[in-house]
Amino acid sequence: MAYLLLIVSVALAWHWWATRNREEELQEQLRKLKRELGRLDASFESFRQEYYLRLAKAGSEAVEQSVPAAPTEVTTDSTGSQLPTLPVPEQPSRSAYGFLSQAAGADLLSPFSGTARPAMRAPNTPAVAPPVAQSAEAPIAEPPQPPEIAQSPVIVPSAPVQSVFSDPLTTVAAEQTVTDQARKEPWPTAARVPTLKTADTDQDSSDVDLGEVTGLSFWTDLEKRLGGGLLNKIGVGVLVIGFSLLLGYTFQYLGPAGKIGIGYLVSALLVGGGVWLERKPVYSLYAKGLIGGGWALAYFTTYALHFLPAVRLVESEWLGLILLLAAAAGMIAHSLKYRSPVVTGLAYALGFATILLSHATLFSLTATLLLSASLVVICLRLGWFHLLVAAPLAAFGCHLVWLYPRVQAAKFAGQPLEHGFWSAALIAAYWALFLVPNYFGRGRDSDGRPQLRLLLNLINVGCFLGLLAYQSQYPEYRFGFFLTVGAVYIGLAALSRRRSDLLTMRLFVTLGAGLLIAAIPTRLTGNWVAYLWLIEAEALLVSGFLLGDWYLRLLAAAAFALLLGRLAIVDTQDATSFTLAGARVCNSMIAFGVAACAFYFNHYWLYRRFRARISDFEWNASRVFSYAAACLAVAAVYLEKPTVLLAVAWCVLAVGLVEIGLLRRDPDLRTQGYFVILLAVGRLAQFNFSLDRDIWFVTQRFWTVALVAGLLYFVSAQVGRAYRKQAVDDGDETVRRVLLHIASALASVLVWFEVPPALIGPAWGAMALVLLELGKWRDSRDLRLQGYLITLAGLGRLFQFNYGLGQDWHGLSIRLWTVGLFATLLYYLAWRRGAWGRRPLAGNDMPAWEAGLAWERGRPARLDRGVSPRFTSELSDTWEEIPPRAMLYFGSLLIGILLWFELPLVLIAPAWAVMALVLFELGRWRQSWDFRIQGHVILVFGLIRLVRFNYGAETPWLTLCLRLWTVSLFAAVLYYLYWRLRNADPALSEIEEIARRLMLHAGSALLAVLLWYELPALALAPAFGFAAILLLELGLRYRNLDLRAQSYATALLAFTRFVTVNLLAEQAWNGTSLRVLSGGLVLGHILYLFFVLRSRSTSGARSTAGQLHRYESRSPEILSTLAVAGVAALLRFEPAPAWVAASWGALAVVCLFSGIAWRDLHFRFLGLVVAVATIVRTCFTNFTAPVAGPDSLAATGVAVFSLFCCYGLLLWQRERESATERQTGVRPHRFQKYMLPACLFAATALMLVLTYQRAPQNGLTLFWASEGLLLFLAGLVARHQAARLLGLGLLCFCVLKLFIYDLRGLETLARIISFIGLGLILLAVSFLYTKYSALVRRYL
Amino acid sequence: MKRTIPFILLTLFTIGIGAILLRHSEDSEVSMRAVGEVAGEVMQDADKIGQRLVKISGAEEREIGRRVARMVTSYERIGPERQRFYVREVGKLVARHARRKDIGYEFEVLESDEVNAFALPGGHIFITSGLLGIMTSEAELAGVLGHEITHVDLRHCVERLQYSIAARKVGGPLAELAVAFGHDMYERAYSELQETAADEGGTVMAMHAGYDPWETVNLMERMGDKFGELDRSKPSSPGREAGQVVVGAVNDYFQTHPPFRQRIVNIEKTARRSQSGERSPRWYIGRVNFQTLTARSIEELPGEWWSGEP
Repeated sequence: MAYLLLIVSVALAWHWWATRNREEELQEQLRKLKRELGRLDASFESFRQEYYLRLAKAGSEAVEQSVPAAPTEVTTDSTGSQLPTLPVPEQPSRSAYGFLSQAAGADLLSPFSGTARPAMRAPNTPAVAPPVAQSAEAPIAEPPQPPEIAQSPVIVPSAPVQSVFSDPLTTVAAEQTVTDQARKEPWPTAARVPTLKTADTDQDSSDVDLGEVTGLSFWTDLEKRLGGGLLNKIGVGVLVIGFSLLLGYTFQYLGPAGKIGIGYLVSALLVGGGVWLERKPVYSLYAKGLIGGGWALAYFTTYALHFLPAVRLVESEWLGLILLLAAAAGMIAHSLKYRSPVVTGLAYALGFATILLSHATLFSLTATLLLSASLVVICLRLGWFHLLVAAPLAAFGCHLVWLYPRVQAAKFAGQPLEHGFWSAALIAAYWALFLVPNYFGRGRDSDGRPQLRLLLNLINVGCFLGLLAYQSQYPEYRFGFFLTVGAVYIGLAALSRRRSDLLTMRLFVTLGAGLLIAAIPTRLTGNWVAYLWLIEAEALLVSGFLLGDWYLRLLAAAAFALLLGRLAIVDTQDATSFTLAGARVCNSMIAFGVAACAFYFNHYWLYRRFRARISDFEWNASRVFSYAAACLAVAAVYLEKPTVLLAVAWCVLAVGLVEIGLLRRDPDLRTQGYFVILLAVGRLAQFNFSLDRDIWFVTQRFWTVALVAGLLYFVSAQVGRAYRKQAVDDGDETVRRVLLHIASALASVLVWFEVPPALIGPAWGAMALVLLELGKWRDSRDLRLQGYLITLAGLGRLFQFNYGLGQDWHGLSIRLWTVGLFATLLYYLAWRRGAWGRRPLAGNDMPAWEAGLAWERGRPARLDRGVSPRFTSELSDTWEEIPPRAMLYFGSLLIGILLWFELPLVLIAPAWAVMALVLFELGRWRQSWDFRIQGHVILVFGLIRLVRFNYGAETPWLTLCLRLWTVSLFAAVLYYLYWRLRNADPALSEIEEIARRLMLHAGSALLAVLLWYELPALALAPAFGFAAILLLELGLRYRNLDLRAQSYATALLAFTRFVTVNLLAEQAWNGTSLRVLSGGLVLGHILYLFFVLRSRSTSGARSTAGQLHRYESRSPEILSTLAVAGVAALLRFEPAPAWVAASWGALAVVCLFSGIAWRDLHFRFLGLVVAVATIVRTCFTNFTAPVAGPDSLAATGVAVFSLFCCYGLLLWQRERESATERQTGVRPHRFQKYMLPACLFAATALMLVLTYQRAPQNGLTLFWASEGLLLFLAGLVARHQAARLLGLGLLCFCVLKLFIYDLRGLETLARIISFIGLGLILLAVSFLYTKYSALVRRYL
Repeated sequence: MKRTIPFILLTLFTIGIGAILLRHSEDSEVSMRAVGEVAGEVMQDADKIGQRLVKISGAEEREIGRRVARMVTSYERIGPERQRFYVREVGKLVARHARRKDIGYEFEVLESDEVNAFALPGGHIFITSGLLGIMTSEAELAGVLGHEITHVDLRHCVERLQYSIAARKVGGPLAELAVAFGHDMYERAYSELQETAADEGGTVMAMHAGYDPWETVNLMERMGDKFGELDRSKPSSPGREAGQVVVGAVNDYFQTHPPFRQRIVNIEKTARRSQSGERSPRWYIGRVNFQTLTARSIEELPGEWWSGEP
């Protein structure tokens, strides 16, 4: 494993080496391009000079014949040389461009010709005319006419063509060159792009297949990446791994020395060759790969000298280590040449790895110190702080690797660690070494550097403390060690503050303070720790204020938080105490009290004093101290444990806080008081309600609860008074109301404890009645709310207790007395609040309860009691509309449950149905929505009761069983209500209309369940199927969507039943499987439904306009899916396993054919899904069958053949779609575009596998090649490109197979040779590609 | 009118087939077995890919089987030598028709009242004396041995270990445990399919060896009577039926073997399918051979041959 890791690490090192300095590579390419362009410029200039000389010669001859000689002017070309300004020639003919092409020669075909050409067209454009010539006073010759440049197909380039012959970088550089050249040109040139945008050019561009051009560019780019970079790296990597394997192999005639020599020789060749090639810019990238690989191989060979047994030449471990270090040093030295932190870092990593790989001793560990020191120096000098961050990890990591086994051994032996002191000293040395960068090299600070230093310091101190803790041998020195290191950090922080290094100062002061805090518990115990932490925190806080540093104050806050944690976790457990004036006082109570005082002092004196210097955020944060102080005070009271009176004591403390808060107008103190009140109430609930001991004939519970409730009423009154004076805000008013509710709740609970159990419910009912009337009289919303809540509690009590009271009292059960009384009370309250439905006022749509509220809304506000309008509650609040109606509902609920308790079991559901009828009629009479809703609810419960109980009632009554009687009665009620509600009240709300329709569905469902009870299992699915047909016909006849929906649901049920029952039927009737009979019948029903719905649609597709509801538009597709799935399932279970795939394939063909013939997209989709299932089935069942006989071969052959049939059908479909597209412009569905090649590919793949399994292995390649040829021919005949490409690909695959399959499973030696040979070949290919890349690209 | 004739035809078909179903549809199973089988096939297909990736060699499988077999024989008592010899002889006869040739099959009898037979990787087949005790013929023994040989032949035994072995190599014992548990849960979805395949393969193997497949059917019927089956009678309500279907689905998932009646149907179908190509099938039963513990390979009795179906 270690060997493999080493190989991988070396390979990774090589990879980093080879890919380093990407920027340098790009620069190198840029330089190369510039040189190339310069060469082109030079050749172009020479050409241009020659061209103008020839033109001049021709012009002078013409002038000599016509006009006197004109003076020649001199201009300057782009290179600064002077050229004669020549007369512009006449409009050049096409032959002139042909001449240009010939003259340009190979340059025009070079990758940069696309950019160079426009410059060559300079003289031909209208603007090309030299400005000198234009400004000439007496032009010798007439200016030439603008040539029709764009008409020249030879010269005019188009953008896509340009992209073919040049990579993006080249293009950008070339465009830049063109721009520069255009800027330098003494006259405007034809390089200006607008001149190229002519009609012909556009036409040419549009004729070019952009996809093909882009694809070619992609392949070109891929080849460049492969040949220029990737092959080189892969080659070197493979070569190195090959030689690594070679070193580990034992040869008969080659000893270790020979192998080591070969390793060094090859590495030297690689490094030497790389260094030699590196001088040539073209091979820069290639050479770096060689150098990296060479060093990696050299390092590995050195490693093998001692650590690889097969080639161990060096027996001394020290010598091996020194050699490895030397190799690493060589790599480091070489790497520094490149000034690359990555490369140097890798070299150092290998250096550290050397120590890790060797059996490190304490002495060898000092090498890490040296390595670290050198790394620190190099990084500081070269400013490589990123690299420096990794240094402590490496150094401390090496030390940990050395330390771990020794510590484990020492622990196992129970002895102290050997060399523990020296190890600690070494760790301290590392720590000191990595502190150095904080005070050197700061002049080079740049962005991110301080953060890196912060990271470095964190790693340093973390590793330092972690390692020392791990090897800790002397715990008794911990206190001194922490104090010392903390003091050192505090001192370093002071030093950093003097150097204005704020970040480091804060880190160090954090570390120092943290270590000091950590030191205290190592020596001191008890409350002293809290006292000392408090002192340190106070010191930090005061220092923060004096030095004006918020960070110190933040640290102080953290220390205070720590102190709080300590007090909460540790000091609360401290039970020690002392005696003061005869009373025992808990030590921790003093500590908590002192801390509370300190916290109050900090907030109300210290922070308030420096309020102007601190931010609002910090001030707000300081308020936390106040709350913490309150918590500490609460805890101090708790620590004295006054068990019975604790709640009262807390309540008194809270009242004091609230009173002081009201006096000082301090919301924080009031808030603390409120929270303490909550605490007191919680304590009361948790403890005091269980106090049954009497004091003065009254229980302790009563005294304490009443006292707290009284205090709450007092606080409520105080706050309310302040609120009326507007001395407190709305939040306090809210709290006041909450306190009022809590007080009343306490009173209610007291009632619960004092009143006999059977009377609690009615008592609470009476209390609610009083509160509601009182709330109405006093106009208090809170009192009314309490009334409603207590009513609810009374209801709960009735449900929980009173329904179980069956004893008689005066001839009636107690349950009837109490529940009836409560129900009457509820109906009374509902009537009193006007919730009994619409009053019989003609033309008035307002419900009675709403009218009642409207009357109350009109009452004048009670201002005469000194209550400001702001505090007047309003009865018109929305929420108050709910309770009266809820009372009505609860009244009916109580009666319904009473029926359940009183009637025989079989009659409950019918009784509820009758009650529902009554409620519906009552709702119609009172026009009350609430009564109708109650009717619905009771109907639902009756339905549930019916389903749960009455279906099992098989007792006969009047020759029929009770199930039939009761279920039929219920179904009749449902159908009656469906009819009655539709005819009687057409203005039903939307939800009631839904409920009415649900009644119809429920009635049908009841009948369906009856069918289940009456019919045998196998017959149920056909029955459901036929019922679905009947329902659909009825639904279509009466245009009833609900009936049709029931039809679909029943069809789904039939299908489900078919899957769970009929599909498993093994019985036969006269040789015919019942599975086929029943399943076929069900599927026939489903298909009938499908055809009926399909005939209702207008076009046979999705549209069902005017016939079916839009929700049903998908139903034909769903039904057809079910039918096809059912057929597929039958085919899965009926024939022999081998023939399942074949039958599925046939089904796919049928579906596809049907879909194409009917132009039904969904059927085609189903066919493709079945085809996919055929493929999967063939792959995983037919191909993996344990016994593959001729039957299986035939079945698989049929499956594959059916897939090819699918492919043929899809081809046919494509032809039809193409014709349609040409006629109508409607494009075929997108998925068909992919299905055609996918089907072909799958069929071909299955055919290949079938051939692989059945054909003789020796002739397999030939078989496959024949099949590829057939595919190619088929593609030609069918004019299908994918088939042709697949055939060609298959042929290529056959070629590859010759090489790949033979190489698999070779012996070790052969594998080594393969690796080395392949590496050399790849290197050679890469070398050749690098050398002749331009030539290769020309022939693409 | 357009739909009238099809509707009438469909109604007539429904009435006719409904009448047939009313007469023949007693004792119909209601379960999700059909869905479970299809889902199990899909999961088994998916698992085949993974099994192919972590496939171990035959030598490794033999080594594992050897170690496990040693453990089994060290914990369990071995049966009498004569019985072991007899089982070995019958096993050799059946194993000749196994597909895998890199496995050397070994047969052993365990002295146990438990009615069981199992196979280990590498071809180690164990059968308990309890199971031998309820057998009546050599053909039954051949069917059982063929079943277990098929498990090895189809790599069912080693497939249960392959993931664990790979996980142990990568992640250690904890990973092995986790993967073993995970794969065991996964495999339960199609373990019944494996058993069905083993039944079919074992039947075919025994038939190729000349043994009567209907004897295996008889054995299964006896075992079904002995061990009973899950009650799948008609429930009292549709809700209970739905619950029974769900519970049955869960039960089927955790059940390693199909119900005996299902196995009987499968074996019968396989036997009929396999003998359909035979012109004059003759099968050996070997009741006397079994009683005297004399293998057919040693002494073939003419009276034990039988032709045709029962």
